[in-house]
Amino acid sequence: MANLGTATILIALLLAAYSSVTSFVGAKRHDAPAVVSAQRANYLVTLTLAVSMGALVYAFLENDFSIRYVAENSNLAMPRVYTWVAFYAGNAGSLLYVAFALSGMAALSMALAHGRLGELRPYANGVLMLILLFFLLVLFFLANPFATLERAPADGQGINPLLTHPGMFAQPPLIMTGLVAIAVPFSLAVAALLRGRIDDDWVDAGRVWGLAAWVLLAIGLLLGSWWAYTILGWGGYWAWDPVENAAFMPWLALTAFIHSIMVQKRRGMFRMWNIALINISFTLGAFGIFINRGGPVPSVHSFGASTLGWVFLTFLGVVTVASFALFFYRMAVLRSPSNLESTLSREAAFLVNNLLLLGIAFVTLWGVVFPLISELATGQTITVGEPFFNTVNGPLMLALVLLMGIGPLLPWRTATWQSVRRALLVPGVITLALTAVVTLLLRITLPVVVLGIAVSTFAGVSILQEWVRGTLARSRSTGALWPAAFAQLVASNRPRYGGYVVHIAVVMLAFGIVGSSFYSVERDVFLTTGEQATIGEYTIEFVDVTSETFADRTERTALLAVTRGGRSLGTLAAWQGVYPSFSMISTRAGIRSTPQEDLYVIFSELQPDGQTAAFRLLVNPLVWWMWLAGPFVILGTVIALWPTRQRAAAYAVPPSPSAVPGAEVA
Amino acid sequence: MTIIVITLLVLVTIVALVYPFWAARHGGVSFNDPARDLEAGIRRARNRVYEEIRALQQEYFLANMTEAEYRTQLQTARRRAAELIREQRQVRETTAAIEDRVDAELRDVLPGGGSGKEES
Repeated sequence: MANLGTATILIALLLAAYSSVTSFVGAKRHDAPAVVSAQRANYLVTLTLAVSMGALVYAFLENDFSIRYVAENSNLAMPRVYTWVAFYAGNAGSLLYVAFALSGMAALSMALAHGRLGELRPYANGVLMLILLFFLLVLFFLANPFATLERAPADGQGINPLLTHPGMFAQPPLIMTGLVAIAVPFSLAVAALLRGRIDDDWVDAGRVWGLAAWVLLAIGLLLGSWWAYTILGWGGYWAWDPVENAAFMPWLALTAFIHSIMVQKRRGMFRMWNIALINISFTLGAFGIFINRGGPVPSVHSFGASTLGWVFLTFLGVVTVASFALFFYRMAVLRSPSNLESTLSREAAFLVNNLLLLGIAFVTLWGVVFPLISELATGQTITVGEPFFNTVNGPLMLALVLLMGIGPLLPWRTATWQSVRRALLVPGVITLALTAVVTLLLRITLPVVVLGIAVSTFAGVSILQEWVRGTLARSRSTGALWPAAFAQLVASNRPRYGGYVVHIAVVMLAFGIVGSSFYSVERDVFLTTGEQATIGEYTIEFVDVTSETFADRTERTALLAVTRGGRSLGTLAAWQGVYPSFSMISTRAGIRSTPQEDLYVIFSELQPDGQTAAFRLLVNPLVWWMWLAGPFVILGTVIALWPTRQRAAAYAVPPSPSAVPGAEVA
Repeated sequence: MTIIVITLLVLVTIVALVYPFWAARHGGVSFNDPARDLEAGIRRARNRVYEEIRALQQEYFLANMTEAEYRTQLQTARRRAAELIREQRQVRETTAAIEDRVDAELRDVLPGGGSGKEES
């Protein structure tokens, strides 16, 4: 398997190099056979890397410890189900996965672009293959997952215990795929720059692939938060950790891009801005890979120690300089045919949204790089903690949610203050009423929480108002029943209404963050079996603890009975695993989750008597809504990406131009 | 096993990469058609304009814009669509005229003619 794996990586490397060079040469010389041949090489890279992936999976399944990577990331006691997780538990495996994911997306994007991108396609293919070539060179020369040991050990070192979690089956691949997926819209933008004719040809494909990368990162970030919430044993879900931030920053820039690209699609504006945004997104994605795989800063999410920092830093430097140099070189042809007509328009709202998103991204970037800069400058690492991020990013995020409510109510091009006041009146009044009721009922005294509730409610109400207004109007005009009218409304403009579904998810997230950040209750207790403790309205009784020993770990499960107001709510199981070879205790919280709040119990420690244990108890309000946001994000993106059927008439050439309405005016 | 898989991969690769050049040289497949590319570009631009008109109608339908704004923007989009249709027609007519001229010249030069149209 080692030989097969190494040989296929080499073949993939040669194919990517061939595809890139032939694409650029073919595009420049208008040599169609060369372009087709280069395209086929792109498809073959995916096939070849699939064989390589299969070889490594097979080596894991066969416990082939002669391969260093297999020996370092699995052992005989590892449950077979975690083979897939072990695959990317270290640097070399994850790089192979990254290369495969990138090649798959490069092949798919170029296949789907057939006949749609015209002359852009070979340039985009060339750029994609060049990026892929970098990863393949690193894989072949610096991090070969098929490198062998002189003598195979009898057993491997095992998988990092923190990775043995259901969330890990999907989260790392989603984040890695999301980060490299940005390469597709980036390559389209660079292709437009290289060709030197900047029109809107790349916009549709750029938007689709930008959204694809965005949703992969969004779900990856949510799954990562869920993983941290359930396994890290601190009761939180987001700590502004460098690796979390590394995926968050390109996601923010992409969020700006997928909004801004709609303005170019709709009005032909922001051409220069969109190219800059996708450059920034890709640069931040490359920075994310540097943080993830280069290992310059410690993180709870880093599992593979790495000496490859300089390689990824070089890649980051080259990508940044090259993409922006090309951008400035072509600046003259990037100007949009139309300009912003008014600061009171949807385009202006999109622009402010973009600036806020980039503001949050750059604040986060500063927080991530500051420890590196301080270490370089003073020799001491000064860590930037949660308070900095929360204090600076919190108000920016609140402004963003507010804008999410205002933006959809503004018309394109221009509006008057009077029409804006009229549009904001109904959602504004409803918001004030709801906020007042909630504040009084829950006796909320913190102004920041009242503001958070008001802003989130406003965003939610304005979206609901758009839906209700549209549904009623359609129902009136077509006579359709409300559900049918609603379905017709969504189908009539999928990008818009899909976007609104995602906005609802953001409102859910906002409520979850406000609730859990300001009203979380925490208590540490020692309990002997049969004893009780209370937190909030809950009473928890430590019923029993069971132990089971495996070759590499001892698993302990504490059983707790939960009651509220004298009524039994069932039992919770809080779990911990002791891994002597890793000197690590891994926990899995017992969670009772409801829309109102989570009761969260961590089994921290078992005393030598085997009957007394330390527990951390938490009540986290509204966290349930954050996890519900995930399916809404996916649903909204699917709606937004669902292809619109082009009417046959749109493709037909009418008998004479004069027969076309408006033609005589031209 | 390894040798077989690698040999197979290399063979498939060589065939797949070399075939386009071979096919072009032996006239089996026609690759270059600038007129078709140009027309496709215009069609894409037209579809974008139609999409814009659809979005515009929806904004108006939802009362997000005034009658006057709607009329002005619709008129601009329709003008653009008409321009693109005219461009598309020109490309088609020019291409057809060039093909007819090539056929005519071939008929003069070659004893049996060279027109694909005649053969079909």
